[in-house]
Amino acid sequence: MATVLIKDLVKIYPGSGGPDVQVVHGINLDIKDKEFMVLVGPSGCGKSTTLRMIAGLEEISGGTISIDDKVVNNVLPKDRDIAMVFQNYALYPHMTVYDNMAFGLKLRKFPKKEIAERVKEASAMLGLDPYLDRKPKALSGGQRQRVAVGRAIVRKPKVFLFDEPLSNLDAKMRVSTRTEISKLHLKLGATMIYVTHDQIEALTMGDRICVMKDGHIMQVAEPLTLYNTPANMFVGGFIGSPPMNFLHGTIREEGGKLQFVEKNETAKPVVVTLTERLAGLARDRIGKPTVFGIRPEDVQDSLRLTNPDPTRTATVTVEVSEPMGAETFLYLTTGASAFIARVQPTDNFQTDQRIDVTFRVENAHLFDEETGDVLK
Amino acid sequence: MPILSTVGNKTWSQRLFVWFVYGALTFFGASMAVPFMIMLTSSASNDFDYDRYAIAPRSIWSAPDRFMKGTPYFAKPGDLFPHKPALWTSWRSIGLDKETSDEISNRYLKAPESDWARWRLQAADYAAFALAHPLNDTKAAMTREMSAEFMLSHYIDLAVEQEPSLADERGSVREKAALKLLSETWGVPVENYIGINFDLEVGRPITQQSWVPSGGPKWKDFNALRFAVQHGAQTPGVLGAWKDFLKERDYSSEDIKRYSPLPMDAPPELTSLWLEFAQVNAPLSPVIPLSLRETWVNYLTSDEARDLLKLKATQRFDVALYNSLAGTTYADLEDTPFPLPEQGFTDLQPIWKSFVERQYPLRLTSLEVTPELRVRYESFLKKNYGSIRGLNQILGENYKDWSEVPLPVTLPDEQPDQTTGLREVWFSFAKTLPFSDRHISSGDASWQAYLKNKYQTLEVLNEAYGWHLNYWEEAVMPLDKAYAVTYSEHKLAFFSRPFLFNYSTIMRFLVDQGNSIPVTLWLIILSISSSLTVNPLAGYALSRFNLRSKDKILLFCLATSAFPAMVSAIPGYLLMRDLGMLNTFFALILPSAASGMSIFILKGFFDSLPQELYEAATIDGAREWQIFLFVTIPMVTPILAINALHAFIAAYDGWAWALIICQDKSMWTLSVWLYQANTWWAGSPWITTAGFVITSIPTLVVFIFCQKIIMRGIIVPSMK
Repeated sequence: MATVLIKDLVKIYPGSGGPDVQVVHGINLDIKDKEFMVLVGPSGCGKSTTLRMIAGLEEISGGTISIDDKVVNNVLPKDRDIAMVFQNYALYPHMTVYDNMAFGLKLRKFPKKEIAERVKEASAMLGLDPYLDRKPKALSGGQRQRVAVGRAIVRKPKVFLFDEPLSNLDAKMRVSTRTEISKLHLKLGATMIYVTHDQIEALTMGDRICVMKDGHIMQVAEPLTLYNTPANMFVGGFIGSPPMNFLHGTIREEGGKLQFVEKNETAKPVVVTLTERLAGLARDRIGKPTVFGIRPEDVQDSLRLTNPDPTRTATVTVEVSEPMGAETFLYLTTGASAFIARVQPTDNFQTDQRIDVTFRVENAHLFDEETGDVLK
Repeated sequence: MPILSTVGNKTWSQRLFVWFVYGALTFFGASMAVPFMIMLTSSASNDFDYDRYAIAPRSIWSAPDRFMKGTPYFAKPGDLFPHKPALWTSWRSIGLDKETSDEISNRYLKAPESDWARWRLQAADYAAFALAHPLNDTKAAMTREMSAEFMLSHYIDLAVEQEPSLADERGSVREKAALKLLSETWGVPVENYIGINFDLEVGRPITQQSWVPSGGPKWKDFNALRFAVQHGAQTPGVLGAWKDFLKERDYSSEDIKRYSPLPMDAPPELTSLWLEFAQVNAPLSPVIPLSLRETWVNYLTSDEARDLLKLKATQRFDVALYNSLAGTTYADLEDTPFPLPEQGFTDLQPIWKSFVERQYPLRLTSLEVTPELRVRYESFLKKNYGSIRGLNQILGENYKDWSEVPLPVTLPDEQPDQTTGLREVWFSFAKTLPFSDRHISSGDASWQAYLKNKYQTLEVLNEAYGWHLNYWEEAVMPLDKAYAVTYSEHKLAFFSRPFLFNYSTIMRFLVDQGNSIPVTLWLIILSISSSLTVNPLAGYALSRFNLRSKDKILLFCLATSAFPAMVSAIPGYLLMRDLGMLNTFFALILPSAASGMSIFILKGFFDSLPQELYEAATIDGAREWQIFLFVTIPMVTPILAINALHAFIAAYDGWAWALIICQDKSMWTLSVWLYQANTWWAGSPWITTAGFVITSIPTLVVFIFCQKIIMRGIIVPSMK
């Protein structure tokens, strides 16, 4: 199949009347053969632009894109051997499902028989057989989505590009289609590049995830790596739901041990004794502004622990309790910063209740407040 | 929120509103349908009922109307009926006077069988008389179309006779040759078959004293035509019946074709067969022997007669005065005897003498050539022409003495190879003669002579006809009875004639006009295809590509539809002239190929399409033209259908521009020809109306075809 190599990719939109706008700042990305790469990031991070440059729908302002070691900067979209699935499906409304899928093949002058075979194969794979004679108007959202995917499949391209293909579906449909696309990836074994702003989609589907922000790549890693060892505050805050908690403060040495002290002028600050690993990283940062990052599941209700570590416990106020069924999210405040804890659903909490929470510091991260990068 | 909620009971005011809306819709619907129905009705009308502008032809359900509707094929308004109402001066006045018209019609339609038996006898007698009457002394109500059609086929035959190779040529070539031959024969240029007419001959002042038939080739043709019309060529249904009549007598189909209508040189056997046929089937033809009774009545009421009778200036001659002078009891001057009997009527004789001397057509006058008259003739010649040499010059003869100059009994026939000198000499001499030297003839007198010959005595005649005549001279030609019999024999043909005639005439005209149909078809095809190419392409380009000054281009496009098209007609003409495009399809099509409004609408629609559609197609491998053709165009078919419809209507209906830009008749479209037909048949607009109906059929078909596409609606891509 195919590899995609992005090197120093830049996209600059000429400003109309104002200065030029740069939306992609020289990114590098190496997508391996048969890999499912997810580009994720908030709106305006340049992920869609990057995808469209790979597709050839946007001019490349700088750098190169290679597919299978061939630079495609000046290759027309139709000659890049890629297929793309759009957010709004972009089905041809006047054509039947069959014609929608066959259109690309017809334009490429495939023999009729082969077109029929390929469409048949794709429609069987996607469960579209009963709908081949219908027009898109008569299909549900999910069915349209599958037609759009089918249109990509029949061409048997080197690279599949997905541009937020699930965002127009309802929540339930999204979940099931998600798995279908994952299965499809396994079945086809094709290189796929998938753009989404939904970190759950990214985590569940991607072989690797590329987190982007403001035209820069923040981190490229496998889903769990990304979750457990974010490269910076942005990744930590973006990946995971609810996101990672950040407490701003400084490092101090107390009785030979390094502690993180929250910056809090209104109440008693949270003080956390660091683990060996974190202390090693923070040794030269005493007195410097540092951010303590911890996942909600690592903030525990002290009452539930048989032996809570008092040096890693703080008393905080419950603002809101959000029962999710399988778990409960507690929105807590130290007075200076708000954070979330993931607790047992059986426990009952009242607003303004004062509770003790214990931090599982071995899973925590420290970030440089200035750069936002993780300390390592 | 809707004006009327679909939930809950409606209040009275809401119901009232609904009724109002329905009422308004019905009214507007009717206001569109009614003009079309009037057009349809008019297209099946003729002189009699065109001016009614009704929404349905009354003749469909009214028998009296059908009866009266047949009369224009035979005579001038109301002339068939004795004692016609004074107000019946035009077909319009007759058609609008339904009450009187119905009453008169019913006199015949509802008459008892005993009357009909007498009328059939009268009609048969009239037919025998009329057929024997000289053609020169007849009135003929012939349609121009009849004349044109008859003469054209006659001259085609002649042309083929001269040039046998023509028989294999196309109809239009034969027609052209025939027209050329006709123009040469008549000595007048006739460019178009529709230009063939005998308006001058039909409208001749036949009752004037000095008028004489002109003779010449056209007059001969006129007589041939009159002969044909006399033998059923124009009367509805008659030729068909005549053919059946011949078939029953075992005539071959070639003979039947040759003798329908009967030609002037038909064998006597067929002439007598026709008489037998006509007496029963078609006693009345549009060729009617001239009656001078009306001229006489007019003379009686003229100032001249008043002066002769020494009446006061305020006094008018009327039937009461007639009765007191003649000692009679007539109800109407029309019933008085004509010619005036030689016995009795003493007080009227001076007026009669004066009438004959001063008004009576000389061509109907004959002289009794006695030696005494001969003397007067020679002294007249000496007095007027001086010397025999001078007279010889005028006559082109070489008489040695006055006594050799001939004095014909009647007006000498015109000889084409001689001068008309003797005619003029005879004419001026006869004019000077007193009443006692003149013997007059007339259609009326001939009819009376015919009756006298057949029935011998007035009693027998009165018995047979159911008349109460005191003088033979009271007998008038029973035109009304002859018409009633003719009509009753061919009711269906009379009823369908206006419709068939109008449509076939206009069809013949439109099909015949040079290239009108191919030109129109080409124009439509080119117009539609150019409008379907230029507008979507322009709209697509404006929508898809970042052109400089796009807004200004669009504004310009829109501005063009702000001006009425006629504003640009003259500049447009000048432009086309300077480009050398007059009389070409370019000139017809170019000005309307681009429509600012439809470019604007199409651009707007293309703008509304999601960008992804283009991108999906790009990735699918479509080139720009393929995206245009396979992706966007199928989505705008309803807009294009409207575009095509507009282009069709503009090309098909538009005559003003086509007329301005194409002086060359070979480039005229149907609508221009229809406009031409409108001027051509200004006097018989029902023919043009039939043309309007015919030409509106393609529009209707195209509209029905397009509306299917239009009603299907624009396919808006749903992106959810």
